[in-house]
Amino acid sequence: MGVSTVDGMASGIEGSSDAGHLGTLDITVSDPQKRTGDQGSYVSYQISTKTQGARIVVVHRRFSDLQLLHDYLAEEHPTCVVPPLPEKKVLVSITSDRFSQRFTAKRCHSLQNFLRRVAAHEALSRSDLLRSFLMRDEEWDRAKRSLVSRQAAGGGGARREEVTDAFMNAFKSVHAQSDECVEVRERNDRLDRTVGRLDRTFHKVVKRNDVLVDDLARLGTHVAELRELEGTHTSGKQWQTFNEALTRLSYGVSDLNKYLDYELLVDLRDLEHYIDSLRQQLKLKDQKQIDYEQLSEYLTKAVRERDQLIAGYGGHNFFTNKLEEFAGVNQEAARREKITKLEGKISSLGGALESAKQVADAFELETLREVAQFERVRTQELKRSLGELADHHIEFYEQMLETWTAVDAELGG
Amino acid sequence: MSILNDLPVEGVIPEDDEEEQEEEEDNNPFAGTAHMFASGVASVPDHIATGSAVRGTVLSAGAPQYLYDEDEVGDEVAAAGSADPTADLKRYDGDTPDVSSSDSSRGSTHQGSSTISPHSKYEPYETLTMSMAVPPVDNQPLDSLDGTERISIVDSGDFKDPWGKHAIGYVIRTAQGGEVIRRYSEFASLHQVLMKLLPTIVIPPIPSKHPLLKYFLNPINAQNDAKIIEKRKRRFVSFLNECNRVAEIRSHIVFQKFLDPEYNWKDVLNSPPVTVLPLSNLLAPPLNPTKPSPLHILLPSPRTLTKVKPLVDRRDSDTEKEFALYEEKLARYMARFHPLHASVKQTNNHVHTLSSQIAELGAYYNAFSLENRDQAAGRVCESIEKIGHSFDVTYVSLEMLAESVHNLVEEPLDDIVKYLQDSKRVIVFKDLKYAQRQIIKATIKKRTARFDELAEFGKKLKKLDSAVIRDVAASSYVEPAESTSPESPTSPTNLSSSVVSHTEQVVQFQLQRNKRRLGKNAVNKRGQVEPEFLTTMEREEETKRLARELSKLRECERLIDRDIEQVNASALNSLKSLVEHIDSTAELLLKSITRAIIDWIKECLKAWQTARASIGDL
Repeated sequence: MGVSTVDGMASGIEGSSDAGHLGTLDITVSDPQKRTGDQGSYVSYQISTKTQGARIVVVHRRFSDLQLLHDYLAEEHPTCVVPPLPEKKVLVSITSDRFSQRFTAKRCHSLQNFLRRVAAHEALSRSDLLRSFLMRDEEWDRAKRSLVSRQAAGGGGARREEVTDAFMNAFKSVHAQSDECVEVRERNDRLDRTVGRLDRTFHKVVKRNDVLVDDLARLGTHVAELRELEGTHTSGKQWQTFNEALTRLSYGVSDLNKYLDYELLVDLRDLEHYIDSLRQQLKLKDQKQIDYEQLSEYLTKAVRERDQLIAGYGGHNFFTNKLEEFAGVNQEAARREKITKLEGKISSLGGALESAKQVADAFELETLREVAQFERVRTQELKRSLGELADHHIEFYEQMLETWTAVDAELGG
Repeated sequence: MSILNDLPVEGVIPEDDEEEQEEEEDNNPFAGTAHMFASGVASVPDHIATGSAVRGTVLSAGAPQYLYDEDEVGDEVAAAGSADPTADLKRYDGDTPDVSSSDSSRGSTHQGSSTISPHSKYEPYETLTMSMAVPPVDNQPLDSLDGTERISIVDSGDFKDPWGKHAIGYVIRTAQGGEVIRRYSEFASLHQVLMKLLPTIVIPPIPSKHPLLKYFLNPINAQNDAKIIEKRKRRFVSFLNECNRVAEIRSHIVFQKFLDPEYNWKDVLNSPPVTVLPLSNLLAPPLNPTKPSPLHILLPSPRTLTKVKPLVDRRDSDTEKEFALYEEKLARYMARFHPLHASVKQTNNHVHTLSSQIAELGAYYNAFSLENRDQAAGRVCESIEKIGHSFDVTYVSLEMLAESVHNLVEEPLDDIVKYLQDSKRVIVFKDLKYAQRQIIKATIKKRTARFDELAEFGKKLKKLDSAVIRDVAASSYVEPAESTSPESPTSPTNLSSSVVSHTEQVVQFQLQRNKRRLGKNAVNKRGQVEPEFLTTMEREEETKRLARELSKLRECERLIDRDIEQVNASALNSLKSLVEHIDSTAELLLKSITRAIIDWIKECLKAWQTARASIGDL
């Protein structure tokens, strides 16, 4: 039963992607290779895209290319949760080998996650730049040049503003929130916690597995030495078979561990990053909300003051009034003037409030849509990830079953 | 002695002596043996089949001490019974008196025991006889005992011993159905006692004691140490059954008493044969150390093996070659199994930690599926749960695997290692027996040389004398001074003797002067006084003493030869069955662990396949 429903959902997702610009995309990032260019060495990744017509397009891109794409998408779609890229990891290049197999393999998988997320995103997948990035080298080169120059001209300005804004509002909290948003936030936090815990535990498991691989290898050598003690009961061949099986077990665990380390852990880490991006988006939405709330607060204040003025001498104490009278100020005239000023302020505030409300509402709507997008992509990812997890385990156990059944047969016979 | 291993045997002997002398001056271990020899077990009746009965002469042979003992004391039977040896005997923890007094108590079996009556203040052991019979060793493995008739431990738990002490007791059910409760310390003492009682048999191992630290942190009691008790129970069962497999142990009275509820183990430990165990098994009949055999006490006791090893390695006979083969094989086993055991232990520990982390994973996945049941993930949650379940199964089966690795591999390997360690004890014992023989042979050689030397000198002297007599006879003059001797020199022999005595006197006079003058030069490098510096009296006495010693030493040589024969046969048999046991254990181990691994794989595979099915195709 479970199978059919899951299948149904999967096809539904694909259907929606079909309607998109690029159709069904199966993006694979693989084969990281060290290249030497004009400005030193870099790692080039092979990106192959399988389109609807089963056509496979292969391009080679480096990490900075993906960064450009990411920044462009983030700029063009400010309301979208653009999937995060893995960190640039400057430190890694210093502390350890930037071109090590472990590092590039992990990054490779992470980049694949990024591209798949972008392709699965309704709005982002329609981007022309994505198309050229994935399929057309010349177009991408041209776009790249203009992007680089644009970034050089003015970059970062908007970003800084955002930062200060966020800082200003850091201590303010949203008063009125839709239940939906609250729920989304809670769900997101919960997921974050769970994924974080899984991440940590898998990390430990991976380390333990590494130790075990060494143990098994050592055990194998010890058993191999026992081969010399050919007794009446066991033949050297049997010891040999057992030793080989142990070695294979060691390799099997090692392979399984590589998957866990290079793919599953990367998936989990990426998911955490993605969750974080979503959280940023929710924060942005909150800021819009806070803007609106502050405006409306200001407006209520002004309205109250005007009402008081209209109603009488409220707002000014007796002493001031007397003083003004003494100075020969026409109180009535001054009051009228004030009221007119306030009226003007109220009407302008009302307009601003209206637009802020619109922005906030629109943003919330957009965010909720993004949340739905995110959850769809996440579910898809989870499904794939779980499937791979199961597949790798099954593969491991099947291999081992074959190996050890052979050992059993050898020992029995 | 230490240089023995550097030089060929023949060439070594003189240096050997020198060494001994030095040692003697230092009050070295040999002094102990000397005391033993001086302890004066007057009559040394033979125990089994020494056809030549040893007469009532005290043996002071074998020990280097008396060699240089110029006072020549303690040779006579009477002297043996003197107060001094008794004091010595006391020093020997009553082991020696046990034997000698039991001799006197069993006077029916041998004559001449009356001479040791001074020792009879030690009470004879009436029960001694029951432990003495050496069971006929049948080398057949007891197949009949294998299947049905097995010793088992049916229960374990807190019990109160007759002294009111609480301890964990193990209820043993014997093949005959009797039940007896024994505790860990009793098993341990049985193990200890068996090792002493059967020096030529490899004794099955028992589980090790707790590390002391663990004991302080967690004093043993029935509640929290169920795991340890369970483990010990299992290993005690294998210990008892493996003991039962060995004919020598099975038929040993101590082992039988251990399984007999009639006996209180403390009483068994405080009665013969345990209490009459000799201090050193080397000085007792090898197959039955509690059997009294005074002649054995006279054997030398080499302390360290390293010094005599090269001598032992001269192997000619087939038995010795076979021994070498087995020794080498066991050494190789040790070199392999020891690191293997350590490695398995380590791996298993790591598997344990891994499995606990996998358990954590399972828990998190299950929590994941419960906590994040939102619309979008709703269907995925089922899969997540299945994955969590797979991890749970992996955890449980991994734990089971670790458990079986522990029970099926780690423990048997531990046993094998302990077996191998114990086999060293047997081999060392055997080698020490060889060392004993070497020492005896060397001593005989030395004594014979001295004996011959003295005899040669005597002969020379005689020749000289007869030459003198001939001269005297040839000259027809008879000195008046000569005829004044009490026995009138009527016959040539009398005449010659008087001449001899005259010569003797001259020689003696010179000798005494020389001795004073030369001092140390009179002593040759063996620590013996050169024959020409001895008086006739001294020479004759030494010759007599040497003859006695030599006869005793020959006695000892025969004894040790027979001992070695017995030790070889018994030890070889034990080692053979040990190798057989290890081989079969190894086979069993391989088979069972392979099964366990397959079970683990199958279990996990099934769980993951179920999970995969619920996720569906991608």
